[in-house]
Amino acid sequence: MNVAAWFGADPGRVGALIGFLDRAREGRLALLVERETASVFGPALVRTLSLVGAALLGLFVGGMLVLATGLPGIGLVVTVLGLLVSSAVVLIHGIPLLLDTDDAQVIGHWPVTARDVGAARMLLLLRGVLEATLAFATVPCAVLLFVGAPRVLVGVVTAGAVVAQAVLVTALLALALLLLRRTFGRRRAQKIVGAAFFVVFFLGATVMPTLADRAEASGAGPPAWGWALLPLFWCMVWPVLFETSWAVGAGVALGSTFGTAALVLLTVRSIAGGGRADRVEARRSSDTRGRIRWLEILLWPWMPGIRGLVPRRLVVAHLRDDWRVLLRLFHAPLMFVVVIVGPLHDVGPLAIVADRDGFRWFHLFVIVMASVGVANMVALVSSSQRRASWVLVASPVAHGPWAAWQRGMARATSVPWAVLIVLGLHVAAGSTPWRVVDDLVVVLLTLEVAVRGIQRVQWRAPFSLDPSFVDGRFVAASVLSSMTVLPATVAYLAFVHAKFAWAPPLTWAMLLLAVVLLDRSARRAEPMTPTWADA
Amino acid sequence: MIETRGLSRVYGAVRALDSVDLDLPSGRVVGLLGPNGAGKTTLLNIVTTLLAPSAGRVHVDGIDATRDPLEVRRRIGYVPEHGAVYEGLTADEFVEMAGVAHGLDLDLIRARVDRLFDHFELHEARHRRLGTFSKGMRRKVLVSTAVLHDPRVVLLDEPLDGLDVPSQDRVIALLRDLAADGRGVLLSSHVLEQVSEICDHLVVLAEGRVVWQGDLVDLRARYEGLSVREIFRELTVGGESRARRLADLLGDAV
Repeated sequence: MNVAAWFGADPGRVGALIGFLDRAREGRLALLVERETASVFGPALVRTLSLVGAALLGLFVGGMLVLATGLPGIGLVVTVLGLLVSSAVVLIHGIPLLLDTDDAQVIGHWPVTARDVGAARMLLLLRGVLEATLAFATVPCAVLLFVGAPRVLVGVVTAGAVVAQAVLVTALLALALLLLRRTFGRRRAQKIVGAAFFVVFFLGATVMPTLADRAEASGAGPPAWGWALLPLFWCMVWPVLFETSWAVGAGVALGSTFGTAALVLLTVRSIAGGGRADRVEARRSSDTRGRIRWLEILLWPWMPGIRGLVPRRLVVAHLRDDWRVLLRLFHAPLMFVVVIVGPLHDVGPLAIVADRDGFRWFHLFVIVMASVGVANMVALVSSSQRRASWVLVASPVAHGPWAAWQRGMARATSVPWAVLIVLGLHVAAGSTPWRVVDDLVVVLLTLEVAVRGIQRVQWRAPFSLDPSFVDGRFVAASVLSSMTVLPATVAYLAFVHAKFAWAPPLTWAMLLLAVVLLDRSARRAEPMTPTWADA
Repeated sequence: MIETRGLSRVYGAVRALDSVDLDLPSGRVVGLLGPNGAGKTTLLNIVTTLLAPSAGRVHVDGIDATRDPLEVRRRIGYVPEHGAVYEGLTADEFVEMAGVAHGLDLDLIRARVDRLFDHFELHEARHRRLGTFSKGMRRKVLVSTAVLHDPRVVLLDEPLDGLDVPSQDRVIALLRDLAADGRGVLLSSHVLEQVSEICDHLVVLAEGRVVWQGDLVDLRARYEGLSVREIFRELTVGGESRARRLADLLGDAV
C-alpha cells in the first residue's frame, strides 16, 4: 500500500478504508438485489460475468490476430481496444466510486483526510480497471508474443502499453469525473457520465476499424504525428513504434511511462486537494423555463391541446431528466453522417469496405453497431419509464400519446443503425439494390417488434420494483440479447435470405403478424394500477 | 470545551455567522437553539472542521480547528442531522470502520460496540445493512459511532429526530452521563421542549449572531413568567428583528 504514500496519504488508513469502501459498494449492490427477490445477479456474479465478458472479447481479438499474422501494426488494435475496455470500466465503476458518494457527509468529521479517502477510492477504481483490462489483454498479448514482428517484443511492449494506458486513463477520467462533480453537482455529473459512456462506444466503434485499417495500410507507424503528442496516445503507439524504430519507440515508451506517473500523481493530489464538505449540491439549478417552452412548441403537433398537456410535460421532464436520451437523439444522425459522408473523403468505416482485408474489421464493426443499437433502443424505451408511469396513473390521462412518443423516439434513433447494418452487409458483399431494400424492411420490422415488445413489458412491470434496478436489468437484458439475437439476425440476412427465395416474404409476414398482435395486446391492456403493496 | 472568537462565515452575499464569540463549558449539556437559517448547522460544520470559517478562530479542547483539523476530529464525536451513512455496510461494519479510523484496537472496538448496541437494543439488527434501517435505528447507530472512541467533545445535530420515546430516553441518559464525566456535549435542536429538558446551558443564535449565552436557570430568571417558547420568540424575533419583519411585511404602513 506504499502507492498511497506517493499520493500523500497515510498507507495504514488507506488500506483500512479500501476494505470498508469496497464492502460498502458491494453491499449497496446487494441491497438492490435483495429488494428484487426474483433477481439472481448478485454483485459477485456481475463482477465475474464482466471479467468473463472481457476475457471472451480478448479471446475473439486473439483469434483475429492469429488470422492476421505478420501484418504490421496489429499491436495497435489491442491497445485501442484496451483503451476502450479501460475507459468503459472507469465510467461504469466511476459512478458508484467517485460520483455517487457522501464521504464528506458520512466521514468528513472522522480523523481521515480527504487525501486518504481519495487515494482509497482511486486505488479501488484502478484495481477494477486493471482486472478487466488484463482479463481482456492477456490472450491478445500472449498471441502477439508469437505472431508479432519482431516476435516476443511486440507482445511485451503491447502489454506494457495496455497497462500504462489503463493507469493513465483511470487517473485522467477520475480527474474529469471529480471536476464534473465539483462543477455541476452529483446528480448532473452522473447524467453526463452516463452520456459519456455511449460516446466512448460511439468513438470506439467508429475509430477502431479506421485506425486498424490505417495501421495495416501504412505499416509504418501512426498516420500522423500530431495526435501522438497526447500522452494517452504515446502509450497506444508503443507497439507500432517498436516495430519500426527501436530508438524512437524506446524513447516514447520511457517518456510516456514517466509522463503517466507524473500525471497520475498530479491527478490524485489534485483530487484529494480539498478537505472540506462539497457544497456544490446546494447550488440553484439553471433556469429551464425557456427550454421547456421551446420543447412544448415542438411537441404540440403530436400532442395538441389541453389533452396533450400532461404527455407534453412528461416528455419535457423526461428529456430534461435523462441526458442520455438527448445524446442518443444527436449521435444517431451524427453516426449516420460519419458513415455516409466519411467515404467521400476516404475516411470512416465504409471507406474500409473497398479494401478486401478491411472487410473483417467492418464485419466486427457491424456486429458492434448492431449491439449498441439495440442497447440504445431498449434504454430509450425504458428510461425514466417508472416515473412517467406514476404520473400517468395519478392523472386522468390516457398513456397512449406518451407510449406513441416513446415508440417514435426509438424508431427515429434506430433507423440510422438499421440502415448502417444493411448497407454494411450488402455493400461489402457486393449485393443488388433490391436486396438492400428487402433486408432493410426485415431489420426495421424486427426493430418495431422489439420496441413494442419491450414497451409492453415495461408498462406492465410492477410498481414496487426499484426504478434504477428495472432500468439496469433491462439494459443488462438488452446487452445479453444483443450478443445473441443480433449476430444471428445479421447471419440470417447475410446467408438465409441469399439462399432461399421464400425466406423474405415469410419473414415479412411473420414480423407483421407480431406487430399486429402486440398492437392489439396494447389496446386491450387495462390501465396501470399500483396496489397498496406497491405504494 | 469549545471557544470561538470573531467567528464568521459568508456564503456569497449571505452572512451565515457574524462575529460569534462563544465559551462553551465542559461537564454540561449545552443546547444550541435558533430559528431556521440562524446559523446552527454552519457553526457545527465549522467546529467539526467540515467547513472553514471566513474569519475568526475556533478552538476545540484547546486545539485550533483551522490549523490542526485532524487532531480536532480525533477529539470529537459528531451526529449529523442528515444521518448519512454507507448504506451497503452493516451496522457492525460501519461502527467498526469508525473505530479503525480513530485508531482503536479491534478487540476494544468489539467490546465497546457490544455495550453500545446493548444500550440501544440494536443487537438483533447489527448484521443488517444500514440501507434497511429506519431513521431512528440509523440515528442510534450514529450516536454509537460518535461516542465509540471516547471523545472529549460530543456534538449532536437534532439527535432525537426519528427516535421513539424509550430510545430518546436512552440517548438523553447517555448524554447526561457523558457530561457528568466531564466531557463537553453540544446539542443543536429547534425543539424547545427537548432542549429545555435536556440542557442546562444555552446558546441562542439569530441571524448569525449570539443573542443569548448562559445557564437555563439564569434565562428563566431573566424572563420570569414566560414559557420557554415565549422566551425563544422574544430572543429571536424581538427588538430590531421584529421591527424589520413588520417593515418588510407592511412597508410604509409601519
